[in-house]
Amino acid sequence: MPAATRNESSHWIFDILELVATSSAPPSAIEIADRLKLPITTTHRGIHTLEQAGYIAQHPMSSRYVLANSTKRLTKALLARFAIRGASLHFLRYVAGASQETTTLCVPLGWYALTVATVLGINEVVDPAPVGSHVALHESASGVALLAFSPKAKIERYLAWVQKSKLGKPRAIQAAVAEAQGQGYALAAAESEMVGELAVPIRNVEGEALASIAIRGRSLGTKSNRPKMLAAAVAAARRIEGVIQLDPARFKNPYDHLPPEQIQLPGAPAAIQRG
Amino acid sequence: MKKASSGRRAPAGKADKGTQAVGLPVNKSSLLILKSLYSFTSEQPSFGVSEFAAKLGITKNMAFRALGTLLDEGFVVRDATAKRYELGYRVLMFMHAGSEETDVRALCVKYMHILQEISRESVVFSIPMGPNLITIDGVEPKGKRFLRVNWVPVPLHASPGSRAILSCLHDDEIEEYIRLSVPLKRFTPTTIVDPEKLRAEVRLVRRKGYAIGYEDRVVGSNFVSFPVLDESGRPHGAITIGGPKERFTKEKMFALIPQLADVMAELNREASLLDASPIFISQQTM
Repeated sequence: MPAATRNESSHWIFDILELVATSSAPPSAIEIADRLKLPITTTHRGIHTLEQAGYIAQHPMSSRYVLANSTKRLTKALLARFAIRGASLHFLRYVAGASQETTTLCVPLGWYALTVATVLGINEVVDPAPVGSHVALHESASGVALLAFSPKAKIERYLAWVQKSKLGKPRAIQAAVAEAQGQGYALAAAESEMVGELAVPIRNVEGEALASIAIRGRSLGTKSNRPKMLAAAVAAARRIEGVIQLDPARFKNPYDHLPPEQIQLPGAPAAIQRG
Repeated sequence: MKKASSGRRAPAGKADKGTQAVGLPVNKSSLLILKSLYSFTSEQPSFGVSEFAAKLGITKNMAFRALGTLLDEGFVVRDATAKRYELGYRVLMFMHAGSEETDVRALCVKYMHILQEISRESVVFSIPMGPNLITIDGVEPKGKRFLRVNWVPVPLHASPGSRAILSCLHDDEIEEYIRLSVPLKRFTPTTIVDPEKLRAEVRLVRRKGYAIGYEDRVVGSNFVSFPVLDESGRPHGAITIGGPKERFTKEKMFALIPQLADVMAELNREASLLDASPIFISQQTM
């Protein structure tokens, strides 16, 4: 996009928006001005513009600012872009019921595993993996299940990116990938803490993973629980694959045409962003 | 992705062209760009420049500038043809706060406790799966969450929860269900097995907004079921309230329905923000 076509005066307003969206506690106008090094009058103008546009709202009990409810329309539209999410939700609820543990659906987005659906079980929630959370592919069983069932050239490209970004040890990742390929699923179980994640790929007719279903919770730490949970996740994955086969084009990842290295997600560590 | 601390500066103390002279000032050009992003919806996820201009009632040049800014900020991306613009993944930052309910099951749990307090009876949440209904969560009469839920698939013609969901499907889906399910399975002497009577029941449920049980699946209890719906009226599932008929009498049930319906209306306002999963009538339940 040529620079002349951009609206340069909008950038600082987007900075305010990002600050409000990603702050751990709702910021006040003074804090926003301070953190972005903006004059207070400019900050107020930006805040008011964002309020008028329906992006932020003043917290009802204070002078601090939070995201407005209407931004949920955008996140809803974004999630709807992943058609596989809609087709999987009922099955995820079924798996969450059968395993009684939190069940998630992850899709690949660049070099990340993005959680697009989370269904809580009734067991204690250890790690809820909220919708929108993302980790580099090798950092979770969900991601390894996605990576292991990617084309060979893509796996090699990922390993090169990891090495360049100093995010992990390619050999260890290769071993995890080979193990997942061999057994058809990925398992990350921390025996000492009795917490684990078991992830099964959802594959297209070419065998490439479009998404992964993962069960996360303490009961996976007990080996005897795993076969039943694996069976539930595999059964759900096969059903979803059946739905995908009815209309493969609909379930294509909407960001597949973008180079993975260029996809940088909000809140990703700086080291990853430089990758 | 640009970080919040990227150091981009607005002109200090200097009003933009679009700043209003009186009252609280806004940046008009930014306001237009920000509002324009809301044009991207589940129903219309992509735009060409002309289409975007027409949708917003602005010139093509303005639309090009707005899309250019949104592209630069990562809120839109070009599609595979590079001719159209689609919602970008930077929208993920609006999920960063992360406290919102993102699954209808979690959303329903808090309302199920309210419904239990009102009725002092069992409250369960069921979802459609293929041609059946499956109960996946529940609150006991004393207010505890069920530790174990009965996973027996129930056909969409039997039980009030099934019919609350069936009634929210399109007529052609209901006909497909009937076509694939006849003869309709009988569970008790009062199960609706006549397709014509089932169609009449669907009309009744649509008119009233809830379904009641006829001891057509479980004998000895009274139940009332309400659909949980998304924005377009598609069913996420159904919430059923009920108990033994000696305790939860028909009189008590009908007297409570307006109060229960108010709670369900509140739940459905929140559930409308989530998209219901597609229902594949011909798909076998797991």
